[in-house]
Amino acid sequence: MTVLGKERAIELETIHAGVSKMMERHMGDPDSRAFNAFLLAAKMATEGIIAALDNGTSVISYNLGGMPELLLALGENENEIFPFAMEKVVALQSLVGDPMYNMEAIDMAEAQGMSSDVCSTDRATLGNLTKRFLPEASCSVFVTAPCDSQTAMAESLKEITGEDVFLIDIPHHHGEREINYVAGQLKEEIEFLEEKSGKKLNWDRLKEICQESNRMIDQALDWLEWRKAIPCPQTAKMLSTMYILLQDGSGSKGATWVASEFAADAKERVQAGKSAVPGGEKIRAIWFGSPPWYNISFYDWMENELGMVVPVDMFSYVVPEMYVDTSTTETLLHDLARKQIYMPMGRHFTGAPEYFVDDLVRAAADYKADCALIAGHVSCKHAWGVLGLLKEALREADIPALAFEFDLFDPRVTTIETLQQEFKRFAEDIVLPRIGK
Amino acid sequence: MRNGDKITAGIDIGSSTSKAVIFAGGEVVSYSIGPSSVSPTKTARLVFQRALSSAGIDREQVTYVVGTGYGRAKVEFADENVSEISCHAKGAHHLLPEVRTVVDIGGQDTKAISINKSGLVADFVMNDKCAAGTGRFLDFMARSMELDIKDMVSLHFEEGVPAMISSMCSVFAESEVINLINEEVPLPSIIKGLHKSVANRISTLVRRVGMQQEIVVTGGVAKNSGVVETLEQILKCKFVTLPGIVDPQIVGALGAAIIGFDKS
Repeated sequence: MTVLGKERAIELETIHAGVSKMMERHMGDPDSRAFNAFLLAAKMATEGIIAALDNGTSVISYNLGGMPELLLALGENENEIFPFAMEKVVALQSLVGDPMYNMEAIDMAEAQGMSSDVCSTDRATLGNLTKRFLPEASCSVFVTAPCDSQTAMAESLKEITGEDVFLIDIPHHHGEREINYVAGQLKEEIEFLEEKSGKKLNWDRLKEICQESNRMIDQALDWLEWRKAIPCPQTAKMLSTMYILLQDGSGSKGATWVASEFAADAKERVQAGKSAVPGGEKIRAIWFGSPPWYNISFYDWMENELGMVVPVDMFSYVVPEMYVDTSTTETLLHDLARKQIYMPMGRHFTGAPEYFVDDLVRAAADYKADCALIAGHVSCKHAWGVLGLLKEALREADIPALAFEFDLFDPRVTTIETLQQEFKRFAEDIVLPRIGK
Repeated sequence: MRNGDKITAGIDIGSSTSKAVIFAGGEVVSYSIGPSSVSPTKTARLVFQRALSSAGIDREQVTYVVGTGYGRAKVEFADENVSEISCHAKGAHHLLPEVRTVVDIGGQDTKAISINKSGLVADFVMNDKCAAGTGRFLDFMARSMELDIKDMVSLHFEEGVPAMISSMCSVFAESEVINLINEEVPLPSIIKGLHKSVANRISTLVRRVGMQQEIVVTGGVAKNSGVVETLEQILKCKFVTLPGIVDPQIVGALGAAIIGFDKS
């Protein structure tokens, strides 16, 4: 595939070629049905960006913690706006493209003065913006979730592109008062979007879009229910891709289809008694924190070498609070605000530590986990800050935990070999002797 | 050791020293400690042979051998290899069942290990990839001051206020020590300062793992009473001591031998 006259498309073509190659490799594999659905979504997402570049579609970008529903509902007809989740390019590059591009982009952002404390997702995105291969947006909408890096990113975006950025403040607590506070900001965001795009929000279409989002939540919750089975039916590597679906695909039929494939595959495998681990699962672990997207085959290694399965992780932990009541404009805004607050990662990293700690302990109980893996992405300072509380809660619940440091996109921080060594030690020295295996 | 007792061995190949323990009838029959060479395989054979000679037994009488430590994969004659964390926990629990925290200060890494009533590892924290807080740091500093480790221990107990060593990094700490010597700061003060620097580093590991009493210190640096005393002061507690005949350096090898005993 070529992109008309746009030299900058080389990075996107790398992703496109990468995902196409992966699809060819996995397509005939009956064990890969769910992952294939994600690959198809990744391919379509890449083609969507390339088409937006080629066709000059009006683009509004949004950040890592955001959701696309409002943007999809702008204009009388479908697809008048291309909602662009900026960070997805970094995720896709890492998962199905060439991770070297991310390292280069990270270095480029740091060379411009962006602090190395800022999340590598945002540093790489800033690098991509500097390279000017991302679609130009007429404006951007940001939320201050999942972490403080988003504020730094919003400011940097304004400086580099000169775009207007609307920033929604996600509050510390997650109660009714706070939901109404965010709903109020969504109203202001709609005014901002209508002014910047010149398109009115179509409330009837917003209702349909949210109904579609709800169908995806149905599928996601169904999928998670099947994943509670022992043995866990599916590999861990598609878990974190649920976040990409939620963040990039909510409200689209394609994303609902991918989620339904996840659920259908899980159901089929449970009913056939199939395990994620060919040799039989030995350890059930909850992965809490960012995934090792710089080398997603790490999950294969965990499963094959340690017999360690992950039935649920933080990125996939969808909850019923993410449903949207579509009966009135008020309920739409109220529940979109609640969904925004309850997005995985955002609800864990933004606000009081109890949300983070309680979710992990609940997940460990619900999914009958033998241990917890506290995945310490180096930039997740808020997560590192509650490590003591997390460990204390897990000790009380008698769940052994491994806390480890790495960067989800940058292999230079912790190599896969080091991670393997840490996991092996944890499994062999702590978990297996406890469970008598 | 009585005739017919099952005999097992544990071989702990560390970065600085290697240890072998012969275990039978629930006790240590003999042990050997020697420097590690560039060939862990040769070192393992050597320490094992010495321990066998000391026990007066032949290789064939040993029913099971477990390798552990940094070079465990190179103990070619071992029936199995087990990580040093499990071995230290096992060894410490065998010697002192009341122990809940093991602080193993080795040449290359330092570990704080939390163990439960059954002797199983509940949690551990390691200080690896950095010499700070390890025996290697002290070796390095002793060399800078042209002293033996034994001299450092004696000088620690001479009068003096600990000098401030602000660098955790061995490379920068060496420059600081040279500066202190040039400023004619007395050696006991410098040594107390170095021991404090090591103990500070280790204390963070112990706190991170939960610091449950009783606590025992093992590994080569456990023989440095200056470091041990300073660590006790920082953590405001008294450590339990190993039974008199047990060298703190052999706890990992002993644990390996016991694991072998349980399995064979």
